[in-house]
Amino acid sequence: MSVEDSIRRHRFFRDISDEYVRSIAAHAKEDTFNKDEFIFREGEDADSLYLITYGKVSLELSTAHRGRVIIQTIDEDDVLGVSWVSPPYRWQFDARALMLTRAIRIDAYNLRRLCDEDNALGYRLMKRLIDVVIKRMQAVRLQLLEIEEM
Amino acid sequence: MMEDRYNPYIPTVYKIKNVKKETYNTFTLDVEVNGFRFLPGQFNMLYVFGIGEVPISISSDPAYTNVISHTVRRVGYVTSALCNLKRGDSIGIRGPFGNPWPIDECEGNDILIVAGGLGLAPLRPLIYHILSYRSRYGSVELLYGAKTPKDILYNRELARWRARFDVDVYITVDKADSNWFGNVGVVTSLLHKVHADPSHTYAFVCGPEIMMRFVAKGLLEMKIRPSNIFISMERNMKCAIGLCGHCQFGPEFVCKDGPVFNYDRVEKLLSIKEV
Repeated sequence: MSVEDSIRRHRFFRDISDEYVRSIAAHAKEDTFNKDEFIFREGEDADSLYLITYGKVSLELSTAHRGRVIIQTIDEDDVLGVSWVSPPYRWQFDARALMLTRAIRIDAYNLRRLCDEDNALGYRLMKRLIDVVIKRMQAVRLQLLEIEEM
Repeated sequence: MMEDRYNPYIPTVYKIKNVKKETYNTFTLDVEVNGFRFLPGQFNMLYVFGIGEVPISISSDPAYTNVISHTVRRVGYVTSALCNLKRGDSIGIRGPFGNPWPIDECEGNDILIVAGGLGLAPLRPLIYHILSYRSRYGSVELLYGAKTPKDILYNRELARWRARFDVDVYITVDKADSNWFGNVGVVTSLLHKVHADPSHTYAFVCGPEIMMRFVAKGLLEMKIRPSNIFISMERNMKCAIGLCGHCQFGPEFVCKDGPVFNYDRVEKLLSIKEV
């Protein structure tokens, strides 16, 4: 399957026009990560948007007393990485593949440029990204409440 | 001569057959009974002599009527006493009480079961029943959320159910270290994995109230009909037959009208603090 097809099939880009998908695919490539391989580390340049097509990724933080703490897992058909949207474009967490993981890596600089040049595309992508961020924020709030224990 | 009538206030004395440690603070008590019939979702009042009585859901297979199980978390005085019981000890049981999961009504539909923490216990008899009559149902999916990997109940059963080709089991935990290779996040984060047809799905939810509220919201967003969503409530039940009012929940008595409620019926009550 071509990168373009993989993007088109991914939930995040569903119903985005072929023309837009083609222009985005020009700045995308497939990446594979082995189990335990870091996809990115906290503090590094947030230079990509990852569309997970297979596998599972953990977002983690290293802490002095508790070691590595997994904050959330992200899997197939989900997106990894939102820090590329706002300055200073640095990853806030570590992302580690929990199993063999395949992803489409979209270059963030060019994706931002495409969004700036075509506000209709930018608006649609930002709306979807906001949806991802809201869902994750709500999930984190529930996690803080420890809802499985109340 | 007086007729030997069933009196719901008088416990029957049974013997503990086995005590199984499920997690560091949760135990399953198997009780030797004789022809004890119940429906999935019903509960018993368990009486520890000299200590007190608590309502506990029945967590065993309804097909087995000679041994029933109750999964108990050590949280208070009576539950601690229950968890300290040993094989051969006596226990008083009143029951079964309450409204069960609608096992007949949901036949022919896809089944989605969502459990949080100890909420898997009242759902386990339902899962056993559905798996015993698997051909009567469409797809069967179980979403289970626990606080940490150490809090996961019924590990052996979960592994067995997961190994079946006709059931999808997804598990998540709220907190984990790097030794855990499963999902991390609240149980609502698993909802997007569900493949059931929303217009023909019955959803059964049990867990802490706040979890059930958010799961129900997610289910409604997926376009599952509110009338097809069932939740199991927990309140401080005492008499268990709807007389004392301890478990009043708005106009309902959880012990008699519940513990299983149609979401339609209790949706508004769930967000009222005073209720």
